[in-house]
Amino acid sequence: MHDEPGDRSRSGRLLLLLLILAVVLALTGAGSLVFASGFGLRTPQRSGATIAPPADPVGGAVTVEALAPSAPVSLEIPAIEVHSSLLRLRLNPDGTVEVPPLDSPDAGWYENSPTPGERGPAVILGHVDSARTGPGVFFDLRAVLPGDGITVGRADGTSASFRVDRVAEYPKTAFPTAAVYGDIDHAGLRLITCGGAFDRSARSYEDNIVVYASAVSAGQAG
Amino acid sequence: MNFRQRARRFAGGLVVATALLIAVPGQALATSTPPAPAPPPTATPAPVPVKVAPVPAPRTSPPTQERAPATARGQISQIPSGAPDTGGGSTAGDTEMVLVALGMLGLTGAAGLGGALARRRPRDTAQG
Repeated sequence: MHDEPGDRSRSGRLLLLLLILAVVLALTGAGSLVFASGFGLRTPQRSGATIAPPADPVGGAVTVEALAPSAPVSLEIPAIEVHSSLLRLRLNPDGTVEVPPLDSPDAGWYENSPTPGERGPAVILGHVDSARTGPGVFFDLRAVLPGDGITVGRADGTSASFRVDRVAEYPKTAFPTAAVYGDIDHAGLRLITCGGAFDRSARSYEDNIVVYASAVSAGQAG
Repeated sequence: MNFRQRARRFAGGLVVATALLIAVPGQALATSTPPAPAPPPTATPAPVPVKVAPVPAPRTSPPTQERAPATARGQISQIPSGAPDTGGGSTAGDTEMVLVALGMLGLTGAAGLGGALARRRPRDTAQG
């Protein structure tokens, strides 16, 4: 019982079709790998990020008089072209700080921290990126350098200006709670996002980037 | 002889007992009050013990009482625990992992089909 030539050509065509399908799938997989290692999970590069102990504020910011409480509504970081509205963030039931929705283009202010301009460390958090939406509001936060200016607009119409003291990167497993959230003797600002390598199994970055800034002036918002 | 020995032992024991009676309370007194008897003459040596005395007072609860006013105004009222998760971690990779899995499946399939074709061709030609 030999196969007829027609059967053979039919099975050959089927095999060829399956082969083409397999090649298409393989190319799709290769493309997705390129995407994964490229834009989608890109980690910003910068030089100058250091892990250092808390330093004194730059430019004598301690002398600036603290403002009365007023919720922050906007954030400007000209050096990395950040112009963001600010959400309000709370504490999660597990005790961790809430973060903005992953797809949100805005940063958020942790409402149990002082309002920016008040005495104490005002805490603002933002995403570094998202697989769905690409770079987040704090994608370039690592590129901020000491001396860069930050302005926070407040609900009462005033604004608080800060100057970056330092930028630090910490492993999430050793996040320095006291240094970041601890009491300070002036109006300060903490900008927090993720950094370091992306752990695919944990679906999380391994580090946090923290920008420490101190108030330098306050006034009426433009 | 026996009487003498007994008398000597008794006398020795008496001496030892008397010595103990005197020495033990003496030592007790000595450990509890070594510096006290010395200073009575004037008030000059007094500062040394007086300086030691105030130590218990500040022990009450200074650190918390000093920090309380600082946190009461303006500082963070509820300190978050752990590190903030501000990366794309919660969704990153969902789509990609599916695509990568499909790609791997495709590669495996392509390899298998290629092998099958390679085996089939020689048989076909042999038959033809």
